[in-house]
Amino acid sequence: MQTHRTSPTTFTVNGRTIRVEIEPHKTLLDVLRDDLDLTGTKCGCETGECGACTVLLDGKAVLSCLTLAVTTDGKNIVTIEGLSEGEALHPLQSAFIEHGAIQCGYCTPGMILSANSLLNDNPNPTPEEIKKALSGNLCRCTGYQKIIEAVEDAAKRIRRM
Amino acid sequence: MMAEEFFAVGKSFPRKDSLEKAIGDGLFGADIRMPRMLVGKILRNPYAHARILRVHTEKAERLPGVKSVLTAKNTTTRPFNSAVYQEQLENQRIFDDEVRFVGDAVAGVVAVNEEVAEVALGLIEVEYKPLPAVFDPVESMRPGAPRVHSTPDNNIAAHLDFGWGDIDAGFKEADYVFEDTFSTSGQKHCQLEPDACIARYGLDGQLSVWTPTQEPHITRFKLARLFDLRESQVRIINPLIGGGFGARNALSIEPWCVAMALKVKGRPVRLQYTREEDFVTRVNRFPMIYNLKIGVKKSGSLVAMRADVVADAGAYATHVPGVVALSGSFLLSRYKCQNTKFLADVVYTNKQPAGAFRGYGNPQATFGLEVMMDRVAEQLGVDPVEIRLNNHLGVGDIGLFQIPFSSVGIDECLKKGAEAIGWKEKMSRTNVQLTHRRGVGVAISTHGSGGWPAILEHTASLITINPDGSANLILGSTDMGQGCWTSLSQIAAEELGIRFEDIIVIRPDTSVSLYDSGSHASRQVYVAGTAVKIAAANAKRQLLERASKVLSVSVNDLEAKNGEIYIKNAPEKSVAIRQLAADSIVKMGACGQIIGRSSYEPKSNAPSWQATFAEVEVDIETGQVKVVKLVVAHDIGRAINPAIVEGQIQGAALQGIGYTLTEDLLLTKDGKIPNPNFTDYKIPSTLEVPDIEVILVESNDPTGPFGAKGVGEQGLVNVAPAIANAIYSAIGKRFKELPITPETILRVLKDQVIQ
Repeated sequence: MQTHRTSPTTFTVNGRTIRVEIEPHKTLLDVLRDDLDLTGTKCGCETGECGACTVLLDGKAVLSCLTLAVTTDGKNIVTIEGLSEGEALHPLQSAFIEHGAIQCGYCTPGMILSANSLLNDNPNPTPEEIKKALSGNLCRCTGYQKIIEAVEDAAKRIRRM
Repeated sequence: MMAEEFFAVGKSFPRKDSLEKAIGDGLFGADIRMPRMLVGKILRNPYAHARILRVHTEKAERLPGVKSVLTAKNTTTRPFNSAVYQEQLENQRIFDDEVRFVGDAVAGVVAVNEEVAEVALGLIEVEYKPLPAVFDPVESMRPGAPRVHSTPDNNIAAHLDFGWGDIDAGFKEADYVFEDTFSTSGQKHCQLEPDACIARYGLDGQLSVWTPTQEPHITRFKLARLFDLRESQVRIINPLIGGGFGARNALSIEPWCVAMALKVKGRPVRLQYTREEDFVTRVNRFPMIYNLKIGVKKSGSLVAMRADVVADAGAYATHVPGVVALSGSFLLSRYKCQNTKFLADVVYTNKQPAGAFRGYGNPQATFGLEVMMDRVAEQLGVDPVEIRLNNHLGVGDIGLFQIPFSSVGIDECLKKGAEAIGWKEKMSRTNVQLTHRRGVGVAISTHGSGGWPAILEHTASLITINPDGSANLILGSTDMGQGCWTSLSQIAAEELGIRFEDIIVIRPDTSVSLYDSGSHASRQVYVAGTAVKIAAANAKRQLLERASKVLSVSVNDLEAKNGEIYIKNAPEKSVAIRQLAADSIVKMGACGQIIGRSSYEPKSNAPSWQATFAEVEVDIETGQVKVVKLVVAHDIGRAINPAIVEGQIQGAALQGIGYTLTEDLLLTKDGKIPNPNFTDYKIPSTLEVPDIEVILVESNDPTGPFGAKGVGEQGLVNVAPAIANAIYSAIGKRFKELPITPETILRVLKDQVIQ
């Protein structure tokens, strides 16, 4: 069996500081799914084209399939598993459920995290701004309309919080 | 009965599976982890057509971490057909000594991890003898063309010939004859989840397969047949499924994964495709060339309709002739016409096999027919809406598979849709002087709810009442995102008289679930919904009998709602279903657990109808088409869950926009697909979403559960001709080939300037 040199990497994932030995060629997606069992982050293309693997890196949406894990040393990562607080859902999660914005659900984690990144920067986006922010997250089921409505509604809920 | 009288049906409840999907908790195939799990990989061939002379596997076998290397020498070469039913034509093999398209499987590796498997693939040496290949289906039928299979020698996999009346007499009778040739592309499903399957063959002879198949029971039957096992030895379990649209119709990745599992008995094997493998090796929509000829009287009535079709099956028979036969049925079951003829050749080529895709032959037929109806309307000086209102089939007319229509809501669809898009006013608009020209177009279609009597339609349903008054709804019905677990739960709740929240879905697992034909043909709500309703009524009857003893009244005087059974004339007297359920299980001397059951075959196919109105803006300088608005009016019978129904229609409509304007699998001269990724194969993103207005028309079908009909597919079916007709109204040019790209538009506009 082949072995590779590994680098110790320390990062925060969903509020927990984790130290892992990472092979330098491994992507953040591989490490999250295979080493940390955080399978909520999905793999749709591995080439940065579909957005299913989106996670938050220091609050910004990034494609984990194009991010080498060793480069995230010292950074703060949030995956879909870390978005809700305890049993309380994040307003984006509740809005996606209530608006019927989830069909097969494979794009959902990435979609919600891209929307979260948008709302962090712009708490009151127009539908056009939402479309632009989510244009890298493909969905083949919904036609996006209910997703856009859910993000608008979640933004309202967050502004009231 | 009005929707207000229901307490569970007609409400937009959140889906049963949306919480787990929103928090990243739900498990798709690739998310499942098992102890001692191995991984599989497939070596794929680089030639469009070749004979495999030898496969040298020794180096790969010696690599540490490799558990097995599979080839045609040590794996069953029994032929199979991956498609639901269709056992009459089997020519796919797991591995063969001939490869027939770029990407066809050559060998497989089972190893301890992906990296080792990948390295092992590189150590396999294959000696190929390249053979002549053919890619164009019309060329493929010519004498002397390379043969894709040893038989048939003309590459024609199937020939179809059906219709009614006297076609020649019909054309003689016609005042006008219209003829045109239309061609459609090989659209890809692009479900967001690439295929992932896990199989484990236990030392006890039990094969378990976790797979995103849309038809667990048929997959069990097909795998048992392929590997010479008894069906009871095979267990199929659906994890969550990241989209289907027909891509996961019966077998997809399973034969390879199971072949691997059989080599490493006792250990689970996971096989997962990359996005590129999905693009290159998995089925696409049948491309078809449709020569269509229509004879029309001055009055506007149709007297003859003839189609001569060439359909491109690719390298293997999957849905042959299924998709093409249904294409003809959909073509001929829409407008009144006494004389019809459908002739088709389904032809092999050296390309990835075609298969089932949302619409199942209907989009190809509808594109040609609905563009042609626009021509007919123009020639006769009739409004395009009017000509459709005047000619469509109605209740009692013979429809799909010779079954009379039981409900037809297309008039309401056309009228409400026309109103919503502003049809009259926008049709009379002129904008020739502008660079951005707007136009509107319309198209209609009808699509079956299930495939009876062309195919087996059987769902058996089981409902058990728990001691706390909730009910387990044990389903064989696959939910690939379309939402049937939720809709079926609403039907069960309504019929049982218990709350929606108290229906617990037990998900498809053939070791528990009763038979279900699967999730295809827009059949789940219509067929499985009726099966669920019967099982629920069966369980309710048992509850009412218990309640009648407690309340000392006749069963007929009782009603169940929201978990209570009460006396109709004295609603204050009631008993909780929870109490009756508990008694049925643990009250000594009174036990008799409540189990509702059904085993159901429909006697109709209750087609739904749809009118789509498109408004487009064509930029005559760039050839870009922007869909400004779509109005989709759908006769759904009854919307069991309006939000789910809208979501189905919106999603299908956008997939239809992709089919119309951007999506096309390209092919190089040597048979390779140069665009196997989301950058070069363009599916719509948020930036391409027009304003889509969905209008639900509830015709309340007498044969459907609570009046419901199917909705899964039709949203896509008539989008392309609606847009093509809108483009015509904008720039006065007809487009007969899909997709309608900016290049084709510019080419046509340029020709016009030169003339």
